[in-house]
Amino acid sequence: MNTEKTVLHVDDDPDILAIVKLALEKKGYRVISISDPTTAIDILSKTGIRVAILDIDMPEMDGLTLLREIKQRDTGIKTIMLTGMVSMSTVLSATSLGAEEFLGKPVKNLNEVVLAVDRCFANINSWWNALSDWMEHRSKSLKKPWLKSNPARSIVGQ
Amino acid sequence: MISNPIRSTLTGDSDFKQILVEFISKVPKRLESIRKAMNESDTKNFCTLIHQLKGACGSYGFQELTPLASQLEAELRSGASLQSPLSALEIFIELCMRMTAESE
Repeated sequence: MNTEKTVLHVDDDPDILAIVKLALEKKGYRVISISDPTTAIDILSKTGIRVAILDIDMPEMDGLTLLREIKQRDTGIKTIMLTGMVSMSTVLSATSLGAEEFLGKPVKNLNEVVLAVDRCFANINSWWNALSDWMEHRSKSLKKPWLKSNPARSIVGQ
Repeated sequence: MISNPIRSTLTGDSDFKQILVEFISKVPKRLESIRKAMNESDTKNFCTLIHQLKGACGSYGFQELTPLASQLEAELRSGASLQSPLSALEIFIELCMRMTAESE
């Protein structure tokens, strides 16, 4: 699967999944929408998707538990938390677990979600570019021609 | 009684028309579940359903409905009986039934 510009969205409300999917697809993102948090962990580990939107108030597994599970497996996955029950303790918990973005529900402007996703991908690209530059620099300084193919760039498809 | 249609803030974008129509068509069923929870004095389920519908309405651009839903939810979560917000629930249901995907 081409995970570039692919987002995983986990929410127990199919109507929220549908409207967020449409808003993101309009901006060129591919969206996998699911309501089962356990499946979300499975999909993330098998596909290499780098950005996930997680609802916090879910009956089977709350979003904070899901966030913890995801970050334990891969801290590099960027997470956007969505919740209708915004409290300082929830925000602090999500932040301490490594959540990158926090948005309230109802989403008053769907563009907020799009912008949050844009920021996550910009962050990932910035990281990869820095890594690529570093490897290129290392390659030149070591004068090792086999490193000049720049594996980081080939990984991200640039 | 004021019976003007309640329009989504997304009605100006034609890409959202179909999804709004689908969402509104499912609202009566959600309201039916809310009434059922009330009749069965199932406060927990009632709060969950109101909370979800509030979130969905707001996300679909019907922010006009969210303050009343928030009030209903807050009252019940603070321990009020299910019968006390009856009039607020009826107003909320009435507002929900006025949602439209049509633009002016």
